[in-house]
Amino acid sequence: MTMPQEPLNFKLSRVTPKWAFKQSARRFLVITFFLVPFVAGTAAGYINSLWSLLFAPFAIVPIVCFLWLVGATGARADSPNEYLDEREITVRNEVYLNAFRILGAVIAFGFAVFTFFPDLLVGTNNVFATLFPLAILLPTFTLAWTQPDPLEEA
Amino acid sequence: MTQPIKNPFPTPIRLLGSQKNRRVITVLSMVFLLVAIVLARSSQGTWALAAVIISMVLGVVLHFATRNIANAMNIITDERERSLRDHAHRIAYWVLSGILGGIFGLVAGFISTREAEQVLVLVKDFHRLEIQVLLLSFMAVSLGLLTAIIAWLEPDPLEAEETQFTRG
Repeated sequence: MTMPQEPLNFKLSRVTPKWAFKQSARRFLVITFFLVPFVAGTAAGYINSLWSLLFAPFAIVPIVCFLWLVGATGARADSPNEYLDEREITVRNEVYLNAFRILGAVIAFGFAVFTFFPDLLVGTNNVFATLFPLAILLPTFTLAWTQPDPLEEA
Repeated sequence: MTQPIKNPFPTPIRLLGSQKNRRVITVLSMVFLLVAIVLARSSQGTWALAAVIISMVLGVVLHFATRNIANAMNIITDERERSLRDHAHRIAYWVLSGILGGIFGLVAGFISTREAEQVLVLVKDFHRLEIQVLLLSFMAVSLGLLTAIIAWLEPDPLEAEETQFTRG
């Protein structure tokens, strides 16, 4: 009899540093995910020369943050029912309730902005390209933000 | 011997309790929405608007038929309703993300080309009825998706449950 293979995102839990499992650390990672690319991108835009390429390595920061967040939350936001117990299924579905509301608020805000300032659409293709991955990551962020600290092992 | 409790609500409202009827209304609502989008694309704004309004009215009917579980707070829902509501949110999240991804993908793909100018001119022309209908259709999907999913998933009520039909 063959054992089912462990999903790849579950393995991330083992390579995630221990400090990232605390709620405060997870919240820090969520903020860093948004803040670092924003600050680095803005700074690179102001420099506007080849020196702006120095900011390119900062693009790795959000990727690392996200992988650690997936590991720290045990990849529960994207796990199918078969890999979760009853409590985890309840928590996961509650997370989607909040994520749906956040997504709805972002859409409403976007509609309001583009209704009153349609000229903002010009040159915002990168913003759109950034928003779509956000929809994929949002449940993990919501779970990472709301879950309390893990219990101490005896 | 206990008498069966008489359902105080009129027949048309009670009929909505049946899962089959709710599913028929859900499909009808989607069909009208699709018709509206097709009509809007062929510049028949008035008929498109009528189709969207019918779709939205059907959405409101579903809202009553599902006892507003989609937006109910924890304090007024039991465990089963809460579980259904959260499950519906999970499905709705991925459906909405897919729709958004399609729209964002189209915009991101076209906005730097010559066609982008035409798309922009179209989007900026909010006074055109066809554009308003398309925006209204997207809004109807965003607002009605949760209720439609719950209307589809919620099983037929038990006899005793029919008496609680207007809660929410």
